[in-house]
Amino acid sequence: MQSNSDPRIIQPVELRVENVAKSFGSFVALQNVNLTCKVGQVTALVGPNGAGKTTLFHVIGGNLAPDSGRVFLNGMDVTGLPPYKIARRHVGRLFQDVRVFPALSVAENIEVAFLHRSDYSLATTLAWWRAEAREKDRRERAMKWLEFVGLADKADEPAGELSYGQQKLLALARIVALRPALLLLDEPTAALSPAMTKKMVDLIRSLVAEQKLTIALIEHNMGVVRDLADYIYFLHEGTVHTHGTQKEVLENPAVRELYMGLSGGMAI
Amino acid sequence: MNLFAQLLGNGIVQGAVAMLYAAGFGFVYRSFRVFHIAMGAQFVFSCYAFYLCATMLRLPLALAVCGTLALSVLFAAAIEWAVYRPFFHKGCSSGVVMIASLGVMIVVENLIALAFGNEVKTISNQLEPSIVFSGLRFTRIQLLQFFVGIGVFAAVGVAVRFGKWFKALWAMGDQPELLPVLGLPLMRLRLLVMSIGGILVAIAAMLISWDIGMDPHVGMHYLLLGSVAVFFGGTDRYWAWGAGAMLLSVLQSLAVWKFSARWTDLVTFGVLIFVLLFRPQGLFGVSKRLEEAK
Repeated sequence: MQSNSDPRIIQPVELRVENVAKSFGSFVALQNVNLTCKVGQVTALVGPNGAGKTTLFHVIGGNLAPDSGRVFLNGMDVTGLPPYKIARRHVGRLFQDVRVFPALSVAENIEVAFLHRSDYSLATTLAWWRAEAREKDRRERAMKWLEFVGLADKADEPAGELSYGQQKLLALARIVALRPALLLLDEPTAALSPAMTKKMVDLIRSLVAEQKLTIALIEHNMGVVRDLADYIYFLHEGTVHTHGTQKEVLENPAVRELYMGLSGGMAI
Repeated sequence: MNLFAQLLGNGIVQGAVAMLYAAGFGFVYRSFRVFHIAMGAQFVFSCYAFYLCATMLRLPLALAVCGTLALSVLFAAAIEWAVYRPFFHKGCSSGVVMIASLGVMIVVENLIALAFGNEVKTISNQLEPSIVFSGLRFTRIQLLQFFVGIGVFAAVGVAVRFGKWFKALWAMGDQPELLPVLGLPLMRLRLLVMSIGGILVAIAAMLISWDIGMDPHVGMHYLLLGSVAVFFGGTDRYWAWGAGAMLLSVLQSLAVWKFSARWTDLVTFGVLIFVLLFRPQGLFGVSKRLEEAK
């Protein structure tokens, strides 16, 4: 893990979304969405399927340009930048479905995350006399993140041979290997076993505690939301319906009715 | 026995060149997941670019080679910009892109036929005298084909094995949308793939057209051989493309020994079907978990 004395430490990032709207033909996916993800906090986005949560991640990550509105990272307008430029501003994204490179080894999956850095420029690549040292350094860095998620013993196996849960852990390790300051996690525990869900939650918690990452989390598992979220936005039909602390949102009667199908004092 | 050895030798020489155009097809297929029919157009274009530089413009050989490579890279980039990239952005199926790729080949073949005519064109190589090794006769251009083919394929193989950027190209074939999330410029990487493929095909095209000449319709023949070699060897491994190309070329050459040159395509496709029935991943390919197989 990165210590606070590391000179290469990344500056924390605050995410601010202002009046974002996005439509697909006549379907309004997002309408005047405003939210802020504060540094070192886990901000959860909850809401029914089709509420616009993943579309909002697409807009923040640069995969979709909003029809209107702006996205700011530490006050800098990044609206409409291509995804690779957003990623280079230390924004990491974990997708809802598991995505690894099955033909590459587990360690190579991590090493792909290092490629955009200056140590892969043409000049450094051609410096063959330093190749061995570079290779060793890359391997050590990859192993550090594999140890973090408990996959170090599988470093040389093809990633395609890992189980579903292990592939999700590998995807998380690869994203944190980018050394992000802001993580966009889209249902990180979807389809995981209870034991694997606990492990994923523990890893996310340690990322926040030890690295002060800002995390935006989409999650349907209310147990996970209760475990991790400092602040919650409830999205419904493309708009922010309610936002606040766990108590303010999860105990809001309208949220309970619209999202969880609960009424009155029924427990979640 | 001498005929067998001679045909085997000829097959190995043809295989050395086939490794290049198979790799040219393989890079695009593996990275884009597109059946790159336009590789046939790339081949024909490179042949005629070489003819233009070496014969019509009478450039010195080194300049003609450099000019051909530069034109071929531009041509490959044009295919990406004008055809593959727009379809990629629209999220079209690989079948649609394949048809568009076929269209590119037909259009280019016809344009070249219009510009240069349908008759066979040759390039004076002045390298005709043969060399005899233990009773086997090879022309100097065959030796050039062998050493350049093996040398370039091996050099690119080393880059694939040790160059980390090639990992990104492999990764692109599995999860293209993930690369930008990792800070990698996907569109530039696609251009890189097309350029590498274009250079490999161009080198093969120059070696072949210098030896036996060209006509506007040779592209399909080399497209079929290159693509079959990639599937025969296994689509996921660079060395398997080369092994597939070499084995197929030797088989084709030896088919002449027992049958006649008319039956070489029968042998090629017969062997391909037989191998794929028992090893769908190719002779040297990696079998996949059921969840991965799409």
